[in-house]
Amino acid sequence: MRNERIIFYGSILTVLLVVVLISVWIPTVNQNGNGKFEYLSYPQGAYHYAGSIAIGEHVNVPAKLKLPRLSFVNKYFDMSDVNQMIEDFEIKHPNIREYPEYYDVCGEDGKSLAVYKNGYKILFTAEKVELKNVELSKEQLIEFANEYLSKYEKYLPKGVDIKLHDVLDDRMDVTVDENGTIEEIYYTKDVIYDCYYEETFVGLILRIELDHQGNMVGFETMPVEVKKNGEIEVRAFEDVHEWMESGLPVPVSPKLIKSVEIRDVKLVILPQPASSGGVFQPAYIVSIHITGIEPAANCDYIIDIGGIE
Amino acid sequence: MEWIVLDSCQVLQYKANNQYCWQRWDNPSTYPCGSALTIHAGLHVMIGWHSVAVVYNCWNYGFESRGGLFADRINDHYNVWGSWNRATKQAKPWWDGTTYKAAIFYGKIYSGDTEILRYSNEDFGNPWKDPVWYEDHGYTIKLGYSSWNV
Repeated sequence: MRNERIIFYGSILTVLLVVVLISVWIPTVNQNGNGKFEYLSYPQGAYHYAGSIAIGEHVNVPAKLKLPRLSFVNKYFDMSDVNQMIEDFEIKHPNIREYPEYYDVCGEDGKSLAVYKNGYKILFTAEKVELKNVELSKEQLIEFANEYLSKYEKYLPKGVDIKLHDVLDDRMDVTVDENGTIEEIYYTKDVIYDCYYEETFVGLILRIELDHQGNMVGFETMPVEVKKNGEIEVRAFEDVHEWMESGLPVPVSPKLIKSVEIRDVKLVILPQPASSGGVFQPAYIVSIHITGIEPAANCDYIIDIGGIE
Repeated sequence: MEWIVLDSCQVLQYKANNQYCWQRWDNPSTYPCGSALTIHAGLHVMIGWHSVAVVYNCWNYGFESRGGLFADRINDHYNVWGSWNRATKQAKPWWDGTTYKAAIFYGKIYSGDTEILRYSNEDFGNPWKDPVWYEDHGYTIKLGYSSWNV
């Protein structure tokens, strides 16, 4: 009797497990030829759209391509490194908490740090920013940001060329009066850098946020060292496009979609989890525009697709 | 309920359909339950996304979920703004170069022209510092909207 119960409940659990695994796997992974394309990110609560996806006129569709096979060595951080960062980032009266994967530092001055032990991210934020519009020119902002790059050089990615990408608005603070009229809008500015291994764009993000005086109020990086050890061949985007039409994660209900268009495709080399042994894999970053049957359903978003090697 | 987190795409979009966020969320005439869902009444802080909110199919990267990180920060007595700011940035794998925008919508209390309190700070939920109390005592309530790159 006892054995029968075990078999009965065991069977139910097995069936449930299979159902759960299939439901997780189907929306994100698909076999296609030799590849195993995979959405690495998708909108929260995404719907699945199966249908035609147009490619914009000006999109440069990547063909099959050979790229360097890259790997990386990441620096593991411990409490002594965190103490050094507290000094380097001038955080006053820090309260340090240790979590399984990261250290959290919060200073009385509103400055904070998140330091991942596996070296995957260093994130500095100054919360108390004097909110005034940044009137510095783009060139001045880049000059300030470059000075901070030199100051924090030991935390930057190594073995890659760091190139300026763009200067963007970051923190926006709006005040609206009792009549619903906008009284003030303030911004901070982000200076974004890209990393390249020779001519290959490597997905290592580097960002410096500046206030109206050019003070650094945000900094995000990953201090890995990149190395080359061979070559890889990347699938043509044409194959990926065909696969996308079989089920694209979209942020609005497919019933509200009039058309879907690819507006940009970028090939990038992405570092894989530390457990993979410090390797990079290629991925396509695809910018998508959805035109809705009503303007409210119009939407722009970006989706990352892996498994293209 | 004093504050709410809506981890949903574009729920706090700055401007959509020719309406600003505060016109959509703080306008009792457009929502049947608007009187409860306004910064001036019961709900003083709303947190969410201006842009699409993204989930990552790479759970083995070692990044905790936004919800978990937000709860950690709140439990550590960070304010709501700081907690959501950190959670959104920390939960994003650093290799994702796409810029998303998180957002917060809240009440600001003014004495004359001076801002004395914003409800993204630690005083949310204190009944003695409720906007209604301030309004009754001659202070001015204004609305605040902030967003940031993630």
